[in-house]
Amino acid sequence: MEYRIETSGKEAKVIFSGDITFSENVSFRQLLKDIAELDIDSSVFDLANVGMVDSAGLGMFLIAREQAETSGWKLKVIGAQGHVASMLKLTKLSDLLDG
Amino acid sequence: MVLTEAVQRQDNSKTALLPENIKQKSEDALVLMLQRWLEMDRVLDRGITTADQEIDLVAKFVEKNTDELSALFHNLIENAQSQTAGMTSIVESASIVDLGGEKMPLSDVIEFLEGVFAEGITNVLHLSQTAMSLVFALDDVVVDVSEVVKHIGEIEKINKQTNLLALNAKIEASRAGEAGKGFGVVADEVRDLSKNINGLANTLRTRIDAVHNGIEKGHEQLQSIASLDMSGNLKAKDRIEGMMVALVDQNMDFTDKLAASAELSATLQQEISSVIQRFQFQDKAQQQLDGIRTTLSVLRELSGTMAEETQDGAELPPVDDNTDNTDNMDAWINSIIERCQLGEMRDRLVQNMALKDSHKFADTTENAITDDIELFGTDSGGSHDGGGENTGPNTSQGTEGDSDIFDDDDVELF
Repeated sequence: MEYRIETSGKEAKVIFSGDITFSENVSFRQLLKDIAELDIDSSVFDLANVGMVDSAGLGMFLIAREQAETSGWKLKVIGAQGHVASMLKLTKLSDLLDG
Repeated sequence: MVLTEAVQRQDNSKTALLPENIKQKSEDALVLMLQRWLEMDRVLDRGITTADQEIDLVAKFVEKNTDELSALFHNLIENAQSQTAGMTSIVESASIVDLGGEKMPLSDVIEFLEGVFAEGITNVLHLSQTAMSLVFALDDVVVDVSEVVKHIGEIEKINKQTNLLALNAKIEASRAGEAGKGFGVVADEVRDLSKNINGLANTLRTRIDAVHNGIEKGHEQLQSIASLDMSGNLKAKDRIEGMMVALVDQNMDFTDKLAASAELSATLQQEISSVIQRFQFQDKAQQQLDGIRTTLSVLRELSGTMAEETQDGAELPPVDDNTDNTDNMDAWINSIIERCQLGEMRDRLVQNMALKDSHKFADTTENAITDDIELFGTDSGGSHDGGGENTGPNTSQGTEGDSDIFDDDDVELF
């Protein structure tokens, strides 16, 4: 998994690519640290280029949501397609993550 | 003769002009005609009596069979009602699942199953979230442990220098001789202390290594817990949803068909009720037959009265039913019997009209039509028994008793 952060005003857009699985936990945690250092009120996770997500990846999204609630910013997920979109729908994370 | 006198009184002027031989011929012809009229009266009386009996038989036959048909149709209605009730019950229970006495609509069952599945998915998700939180926490511990290892290295480094310093101090104490004895003891103690610290540092390193290994194992365990490919669940959910939709559709289709069947059954009940109402024709037919019998009775009375007056007026001998029939009477009775096509009815006509001379018409009755009624019932498959194949006598006993009087016509009742 790779990510790129684009900030615009008080919003940080995170553009993911690759798969989001357990082995990406270090990178994902680094992402959360990077976001924590930003002064934002919302963050958008763009998953258009993500091919696969497992339960660990979904768990990390929930941790991100937890951090958002704690830090006072909103998390939104966009662009999910195929398998990723189905997983978000199956787990009802689409609603939970304001997707 | 009284008749001659009467004729003479009524038209004395005309007869007076006629020759005696012609007068005598006219009187003989008139007497003959009156005698024939009396004979005709007897035949009419017997015919009307027989017709009255036949009408009574027909009335009873119609009444009996109408009652039987009505009873059969009532049974049919009761069966249709039972069928409707059964259908309604099936329709009601088709969408209900009985769980040990608890009635649960099928839609609730599906909702429950979907809820259970969703709850399972949610639990998996929360488990993954917790596991990943632990992974992050363990990562922090690894960092802290690395710091501790680094500090242990620092301690070992300091301890090594301390040990070297103690060794140098011991050497210097030896050089100082007696004056350095005390200092040498201190140097030894410092060296012992350094060894102990070194041992403690080794122990700490060993323990920290164990902790690090434990964290790595925990990391692996958490990976196995948190990292699930949920594609199987995704397919399972799609399949379960598909099955549920199919189940509901099938149930709705089943319910619709049962409801339509129940509606048809109810319509059948109404139609049968309508048929039963039509059986009231029997009452009207009975009234009309009673009217005919009354009319025939009046005609018989009028004819009898006229015959008595004729017999008394003309002083003719009575035509007695106990005596043999005259040739005229036999001819008239024969003309009636010949025109009757029904064998048993013809038998009764012979018996009731020919009386003592019944034997004269034996040949006639033997040649009568004796066709049986063919009553076609329905077999278990509901098909008609083909009339073309059934050429034997009456094959159905749909009527009994009085119905026998009509067993010899050529009517086919379906």
